[in-house]
Amino acid sequence: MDSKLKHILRASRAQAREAADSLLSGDAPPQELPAGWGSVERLLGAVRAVAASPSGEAAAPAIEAGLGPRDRETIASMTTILAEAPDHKGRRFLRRRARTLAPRPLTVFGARLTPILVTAVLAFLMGLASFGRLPGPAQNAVATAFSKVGITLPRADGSDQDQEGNDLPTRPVGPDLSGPARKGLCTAFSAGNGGENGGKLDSVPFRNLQNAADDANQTVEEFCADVTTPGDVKEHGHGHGQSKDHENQSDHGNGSNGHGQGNQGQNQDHGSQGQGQDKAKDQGGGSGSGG
Amino acid sequence: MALGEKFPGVLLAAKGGADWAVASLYRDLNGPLLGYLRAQAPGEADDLASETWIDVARALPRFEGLEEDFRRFVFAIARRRLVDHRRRLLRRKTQALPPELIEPHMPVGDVEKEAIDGFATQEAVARIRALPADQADVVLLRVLGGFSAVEVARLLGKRPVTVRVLQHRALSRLAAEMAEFDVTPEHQRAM
Repeated sequence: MDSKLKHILRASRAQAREAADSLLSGDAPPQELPAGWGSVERLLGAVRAVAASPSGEAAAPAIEAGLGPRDRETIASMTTILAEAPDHKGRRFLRRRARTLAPRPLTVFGARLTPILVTAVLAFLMGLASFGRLPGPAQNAVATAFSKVGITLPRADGSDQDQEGNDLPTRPVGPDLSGPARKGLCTAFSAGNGGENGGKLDSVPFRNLQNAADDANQTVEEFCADVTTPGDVKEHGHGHGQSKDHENQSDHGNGSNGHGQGNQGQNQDHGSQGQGQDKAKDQGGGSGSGG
Repeated sequence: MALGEKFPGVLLAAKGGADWAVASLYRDLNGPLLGYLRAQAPGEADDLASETWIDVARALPRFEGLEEDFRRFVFAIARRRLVDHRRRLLRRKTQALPPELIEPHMPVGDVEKEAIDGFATQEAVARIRALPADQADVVLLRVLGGFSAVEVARLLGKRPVTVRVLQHRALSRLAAEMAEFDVTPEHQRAM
């Protein structure tokens, strides 16, 4: 036994591999086999006998000859499958057509596009809403929706409380009409013959003015009648006067000498964070000299 | 047994569903296929062979190649079915065999001779199956599938050199194991 194993081990590796290849191919001459491999050859011959089956006989002339019931059943199934299968090219065409017709989810780099789009739209809406840029009802709706999840956004009606009554962050409230700003606002309001160019009535100060007049059951003109001296602005319209109303109530108006171009006032509302600084500039066309 | 020059025509007819062509392909390869499957999964070989041929029929319209390619194509499908079968066995703790599967293997005729032959064959197959899995696979594909070392390498996704090393190790191992039980004239003289 030892001599056989030693003989096998002594054989060169290349020759042994060649012999193994020949043996497995079934064409190795017995005399060329390494010692001890004769038993392996017999073993492989016995294994080859396993493959011998009636269906392997090639001499049968008819289809069914040499085939068992199970073989015939398998062949019938195969024939049915192949007969029902459409032409390969036709099937490829059908598959291609089906791909173009069937709805497919939008994907970019393997990710579904729909959730990305929804997220982007929501973020865009939230950005607009945080700056109060949405139309009134939409702004209110978005503010209400986000307040449910604890995000506070400004409302279109300018209210400082959301629907639950929670305080909203401080927003500009315009000048205090109980103070000297009233005169400046009234002056600015009456400038331009009460025109509404530029949507000025939508601004916070003028809304406050309108609200104050409403509270007093008056029109704005009536509300402002006692602070705007008749002829103070309109009738001095042709003077060269400069009039600035500051919070310190200093009136630097230089009067009018009838040479200016009145009624070209500019109202600058610098109300911010509730500390309004109203400048009602009524600048005449020239630098008038006090009269 | 190979179809040879007839193969392209037979393949074309089989793709069209001609029963004689399908039977020719089946008859040509079912013997080696069954032998390979019987060696790998005794008791389930017939079912696995049927499943393999059904899968071959499904994939046949897409197949293009020569006869040796078709042979490799069929055995590749059989190996996949075999792998699936082994996975099923792992999930199923017990394996029940219906009587109709056992009866065909019962000895008939010369009981003694068939028992000896059957025992020899079974023992031979059992020895090969006792080899490491990759070595057993190579030997069975070479002996029962009739493939060359290069074809087995392509079928298993290995390099030809690797297959040659595996088959040499397998045969060396078999030779060493059988030498322990083999009584040769040399041994008799030594005794």
